[in-house]
Amino acid sequence: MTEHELIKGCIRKDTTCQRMLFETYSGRMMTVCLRYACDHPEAEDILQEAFVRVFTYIAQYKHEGSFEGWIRRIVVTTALKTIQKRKIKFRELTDAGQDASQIQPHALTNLTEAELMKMINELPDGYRLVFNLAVIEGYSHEEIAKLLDIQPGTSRSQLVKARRMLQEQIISLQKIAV
Amino acid sequence: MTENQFDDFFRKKLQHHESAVPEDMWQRIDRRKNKRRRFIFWWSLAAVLLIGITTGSYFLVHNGTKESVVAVKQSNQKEKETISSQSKKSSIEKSNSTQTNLSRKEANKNNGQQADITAGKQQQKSSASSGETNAYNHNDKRSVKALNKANNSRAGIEPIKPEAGNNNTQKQKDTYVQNNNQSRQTLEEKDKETSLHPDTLQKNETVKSAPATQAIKSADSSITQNVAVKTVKKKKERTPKDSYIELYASPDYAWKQTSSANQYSDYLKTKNGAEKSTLSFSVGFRYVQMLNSHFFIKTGLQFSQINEQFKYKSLNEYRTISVDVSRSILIDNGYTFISSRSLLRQVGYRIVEQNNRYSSFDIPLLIGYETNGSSSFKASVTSGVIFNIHSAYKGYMVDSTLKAVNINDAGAYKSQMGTSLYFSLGLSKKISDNLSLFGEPYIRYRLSSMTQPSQPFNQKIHSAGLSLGVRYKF
Repeated sequence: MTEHELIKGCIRKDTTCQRMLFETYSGRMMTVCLRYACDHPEAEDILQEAFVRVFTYIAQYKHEGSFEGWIRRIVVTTALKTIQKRKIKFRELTDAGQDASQIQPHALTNLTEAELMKMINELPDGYRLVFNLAVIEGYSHEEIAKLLDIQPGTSRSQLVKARRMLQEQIISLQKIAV
Repeated sequence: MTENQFDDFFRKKLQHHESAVPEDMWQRIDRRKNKRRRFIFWWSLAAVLLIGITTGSYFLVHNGTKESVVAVKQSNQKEKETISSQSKKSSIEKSNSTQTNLSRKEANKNNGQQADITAGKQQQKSSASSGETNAYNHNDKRSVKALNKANNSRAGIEPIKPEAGNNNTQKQKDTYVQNNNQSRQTLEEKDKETSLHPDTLQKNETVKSAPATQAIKSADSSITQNVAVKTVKKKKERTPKDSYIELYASPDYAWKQTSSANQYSDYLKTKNGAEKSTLSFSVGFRYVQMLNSHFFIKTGLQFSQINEQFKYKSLNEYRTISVDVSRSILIDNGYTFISSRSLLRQVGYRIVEQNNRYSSFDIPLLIGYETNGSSSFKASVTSGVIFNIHSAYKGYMVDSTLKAVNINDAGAYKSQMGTSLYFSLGLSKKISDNLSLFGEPYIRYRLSSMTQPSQPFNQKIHSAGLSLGVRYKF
């Protein structure tokens, strides 16, 4: 079944098509949810809510851009709505992180996806959101500012600090390995 | 390594990474999807019903008012015709009477004795007539007073003054007819205005028609009949169709009716033992449409919350704790420190305490009867059905494995609690023209079970309460 047929089936509210769509994208979308959520149960709640929205609004998909991108946007928006209920504080932490230039490219090659996910999850809420939106999803600082209701400058500084904190974690991992 | 290289590394690694999804995730999504669909359906239905009933009632009330205005206008035209014919009659009588007087004067001149006798008879007649006249005057005053009273509030309409006593019977009749004409004109104007206010109309009409009819009775029986007939006609045509909005709140007491197959009777006993009903409540608003002076229909939107306390001792609960042990051992002349960590699994019980809530949004469709009684107090009886449009649950329950579980995770109850029967007795007290307070003890009996067919038990929750509220007439 092609993607187009799958979408048409979901518009008709065909449960088999909906199930197939879920099976196709749920793994990748779970990763997105885990990157944003503070814990696993919250990620599950986000995924559940996001797929309900996907099935509700699928008729509004206009076949512009990738379908996965459209689903991903719904998942990200749902995640942000869930997280913002907690009233995130964009803290300014002490600037003691390492510079990216200090990390050698080969240092990253051994890092697994699970380790990267763990590192991202250990970031404070504000850092994690901005890093995910800017680096993984590719949003501009202006778009992030609108989504999170903050200043673009705050988004930039949070990203810089998120990077430094991640680099610091990578360097400490390297030290343990040695 | 540049920042871009660092970012690219994260993006490439994580963008298409797949994580494990819980096995029951699809079932959860499917359940949620259906719940959302049902929720939208019932809300849409409720909205359509409310709009339909409100619009229907609006047109019903306004069409009814127009008809009554037309009916009053028609009857007024008939009255005008009758009155003008009466006026013509009386003017003819008047001219006849003048002629008679003149002929009598001539006769007096010609025959003194006869004139005396005639005069005497005439005096007797006139004194007899003056008795009637006094009666007319008396009745006129009463009717005019009543009319003036009714018209006092109207600007631009001169109150009708009763004329002083007159010995001339014919003149009295003329005065009466004139007054009566004026009164009728005033009545017409009054009717035109009051017909827009059915309630006021009914009251004023009673005041006006009683003395007016009395006065007419003694003056002219034919007029009496006409007016009396028309008064009755008007009463039939002008049926009051008042509308009200009620806002109310009620403390409720709820009780359960449960049943199960024999093999689950112990489970049901345990489950019911863990749940204890506490004070519940209902709030809502209702639109009331009077069908006539006694019968009414009601509809609106109601929110009810049934509360209960859940307290359960859950047995065979496990927990794992880590135990760190550190000790020092003396070996030769020195101490060696040994530390170890072990995991310990404990078996025990857990006491779960939670306030459970069963919330529901309902649409009542009720019909009732209200007494007229005295003006300030009215009693009523109401019955009908309450349709549940959505129900939500929060809290814990004991499942068939005797574990305390979240109600929503267990999926034990339907998203609609079902239809209920409603019966109430009410008492209302008028506090101003438009406002009244009311108290309404009621009982609500649920017809269908609120549990899902997959559950090993059936449950209905009935309730009783006292609705206290305010009723606004518009």
